[in-house]
Amino acid sequence: MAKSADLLQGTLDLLILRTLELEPLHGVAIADRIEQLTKGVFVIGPGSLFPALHRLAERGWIEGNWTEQNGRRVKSYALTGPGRKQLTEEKRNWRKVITAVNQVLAEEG
Amino acid sequence: MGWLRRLRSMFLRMRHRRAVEDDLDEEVGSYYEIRVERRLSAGLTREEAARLTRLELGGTAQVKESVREAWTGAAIEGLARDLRYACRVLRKNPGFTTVAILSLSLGLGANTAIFTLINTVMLKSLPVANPERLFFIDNSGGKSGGDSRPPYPCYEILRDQRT
Repeated sequence: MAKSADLLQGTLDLLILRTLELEPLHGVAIADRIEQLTKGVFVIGPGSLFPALHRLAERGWIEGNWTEQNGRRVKSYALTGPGRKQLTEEKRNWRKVITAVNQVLAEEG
Repeated sequence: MGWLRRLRSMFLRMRHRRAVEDDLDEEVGSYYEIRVERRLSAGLTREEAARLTRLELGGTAQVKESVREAWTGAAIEGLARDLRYACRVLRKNPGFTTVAILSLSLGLGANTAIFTLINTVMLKSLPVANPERLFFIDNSGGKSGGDSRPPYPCYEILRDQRT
């Protein structure tokens, strides 16, 4: 985990919401998907994954449901309507931040 | 209505504490199980797989504790958000706010005044050493009526008979 980049505050929420945009997934699958998509830059341990999932569920942005998968009961999380709206909002914010930081870096170069 | 949903989930969590804890237990447990199984299929023994997984991911107790903290945090955050929202709405409607504050303070003031009166007149005992030994002496059956009280010698006789 030491090799993974430090997560900007709120980035984890964005990554989770985005991962669930495609299909409902359970905890391990979410962590795997993020690790794959970021080519191992972000390795999400359960110590950050589960609090984030429950925080998002508490806000009503995602919803956890017990489902059967390969003969095992797992809690799958799905994006809710408000969650979808929040994701759009966070994507916009993220682009704003990226653009702003890039501008500062360009200034330097 | 965000606050309604939050209140509901907070209430449910308090009422079904055991069920919520079991749920979290199972969720975190299945996460570890899946991780261990991957190591098993890679050819490790169960003990070795479990040990390595715990080493890599930290204990389940810690994970569960941080989830509980997230719940509390979300509840406090929600409360703060609601309070901010309430203040904003009140500021935006000064007419309504004034009427609400006025009727509240009038209601509270009137109640306090009435209670103070009742408290002194009916509930509190008189400020003397033995209020239960006080007597009220008055004339009865006399012709005079009005504001007449028995003369002082009568009082002295009564007092001496009592003691």
